[in-house]
Amino acid sequence: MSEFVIRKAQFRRPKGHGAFVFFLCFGVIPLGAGLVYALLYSLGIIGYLNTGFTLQNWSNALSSKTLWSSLGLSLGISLLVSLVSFLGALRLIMVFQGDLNSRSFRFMLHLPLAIPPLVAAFISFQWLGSSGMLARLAVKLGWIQTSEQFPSLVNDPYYIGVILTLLLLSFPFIFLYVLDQYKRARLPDFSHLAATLGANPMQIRRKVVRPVLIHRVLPMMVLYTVFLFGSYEVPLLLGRQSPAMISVLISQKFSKYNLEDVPLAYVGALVYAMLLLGLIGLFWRWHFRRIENLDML
Amino acid sequence: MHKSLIIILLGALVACNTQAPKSAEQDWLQTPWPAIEQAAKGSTVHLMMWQGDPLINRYISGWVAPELKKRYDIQLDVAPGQGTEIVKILLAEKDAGKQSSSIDLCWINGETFFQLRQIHALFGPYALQLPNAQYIDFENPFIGIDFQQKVDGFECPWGNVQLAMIYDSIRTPVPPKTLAELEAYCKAHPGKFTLPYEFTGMTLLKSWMIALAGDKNALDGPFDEKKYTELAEKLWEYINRIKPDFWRKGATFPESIPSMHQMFANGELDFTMSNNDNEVDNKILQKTFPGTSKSYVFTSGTIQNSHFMGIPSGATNKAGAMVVVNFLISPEAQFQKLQPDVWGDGTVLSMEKLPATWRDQFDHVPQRHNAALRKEIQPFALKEPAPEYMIRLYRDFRKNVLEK
Repeated sequence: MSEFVIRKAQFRRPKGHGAFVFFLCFGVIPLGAGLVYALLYSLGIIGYLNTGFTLQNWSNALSSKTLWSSLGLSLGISLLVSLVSFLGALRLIMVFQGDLNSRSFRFMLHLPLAIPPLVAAFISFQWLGSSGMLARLAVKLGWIQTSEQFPSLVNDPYYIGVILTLLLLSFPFIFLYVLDQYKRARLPDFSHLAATLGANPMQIRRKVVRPVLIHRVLPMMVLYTVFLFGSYEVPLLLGRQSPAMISVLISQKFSKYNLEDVPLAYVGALVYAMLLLGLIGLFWRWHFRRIENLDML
Repeated sequence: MHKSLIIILLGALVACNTQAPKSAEQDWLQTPWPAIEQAAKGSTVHLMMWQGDPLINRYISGWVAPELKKRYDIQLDVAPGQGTEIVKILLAEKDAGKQSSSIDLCWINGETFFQLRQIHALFGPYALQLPNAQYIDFENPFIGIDFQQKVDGFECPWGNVQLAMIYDSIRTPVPPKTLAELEAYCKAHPGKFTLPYEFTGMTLLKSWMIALAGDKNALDGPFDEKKYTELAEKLWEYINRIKPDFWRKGATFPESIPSMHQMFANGELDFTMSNNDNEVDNKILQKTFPGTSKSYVFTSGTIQNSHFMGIPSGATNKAGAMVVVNFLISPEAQFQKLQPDVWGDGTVLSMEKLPATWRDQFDHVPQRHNAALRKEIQPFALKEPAPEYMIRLYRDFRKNVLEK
């Protein structure tokens, strides 16, 4: 009987290989095939309009200021949104520790998570545009004479509308994650312990909470920054054409009138993918080394 | 583990290499019309078209589709998609070596026609084979030539429009009609004018290039690099000079006509524009624009062009698609489409070629309400220049205006 139970348990145990094959077939191979296809297309080897091997597309794309300024802009915005979301979440957790478990608060936090980026972008458009609700309210209140005097926050040169909307979408998610890690790391207990040992609130924040939380949330924050790096709908609707965020730029190259731009779009997509894969690879290497060093200590 | 992986990969490879056996396709270009109609009976035609206007959608799904079902037993299956989306789909099918297409018929205009001809994705020459093509004057340069390319039967004209500016006659009693007047207007009303960075905006820029050349035939013929460089330089100089008085100080431009329409409707902009000279009536009817909105064209002219129906070379129901196009260019369907309250799209039929009874009906079509009359704007119609002008303008606008 006991042998039967053991065998049954063994039979039911999910095999590690199965997960590997599944991920290989539905994750790595399609993604890898897509990248290889993009590479071959960008080199002129495949593609209906291509005429043969060429490095011209790569040379044109890499020497273009447009591509690099788009990559820089995307990186800047994604880092800024991640950082502000994280610091805001940290501050909120420290200041309102007691109130964070209320149902209504949690409901409020989950609400923006249910809004798709496109809808959020539309909402921002309605609120922040020169003829939007905020502008009209300002006119009604007599703060400005006409709605045109309202500062432009949509399609604006500093991407304020995009940043605010991405913050609206990101902050609740980051906050819930940081809060979860805060509790899992038993930081309320450690904070209490530090307080009983004589640490003041500032010392608790700096010496206990912040280092532990940063260590725990950093990998996820890096992945989330990568996710924000590729934002599309929000910058498409609220951003400006030049410089455009990288996903918007690639999409423009793919879908506008010049079919000769299609290989350039593939180059852009490849540079974008390689850059992110490289950054993620470097980060994980650094992170694992750091963990190893900590273990050795 | 390795065995299962190999089996999955082999399975995937086999699946990729499996193609449906190719049957010998009938040569529809040599088939008599009654046989085409017979073959189309009971079939489904997959039409891909822009579906951004409720009136156009209502015309297609509320009138055309039921009529096709009633008269020819054809099911019209409409999918949203336009211009570059159609090109992307057909290019992807070509890249994949697919012999059949998921689209039977598509609504296209000049730049899409140019791209589809580039990739040899259009079936034809089929247009002259349609019985109702007898009512179309293919010698008319606004009908038979698309972006300086002869249509050659690879697409069939469906409607004819002219770019028009739209303004509110209360807010702007005297709209600017020349480039000099526009410059003065922008100076006097900063932030109230812009143009979209898309097809319609680029069409306006082509009109302005011709205006700067001072000759309405200046861009006739194939693309001329020297002419383009010379005129584009003048154009960028003009735009950059007045750009500080554009909406958002010209730092950014709307991505689409609907967003311009919205900004015009809520007073943020004094002007919007449309490639359909009758759109102002449509939008007033839909209560999108104030009832005091009107349309006009610059005295230096605006581009007039036709929009067309194309059949992809891989269409699986070419017979059905041909019957649908033939119906769409029938006097009845064109007359219905011309009604300002239906769509207000200009007809491609030649009044001289129509039977007297139809000519009489077209002569008595209800007048446009607020849109400029066709006979008033026709003298200011400009021909579409070669597609390369559009491609270059789009690219160089970014470099010379957006990034400056």
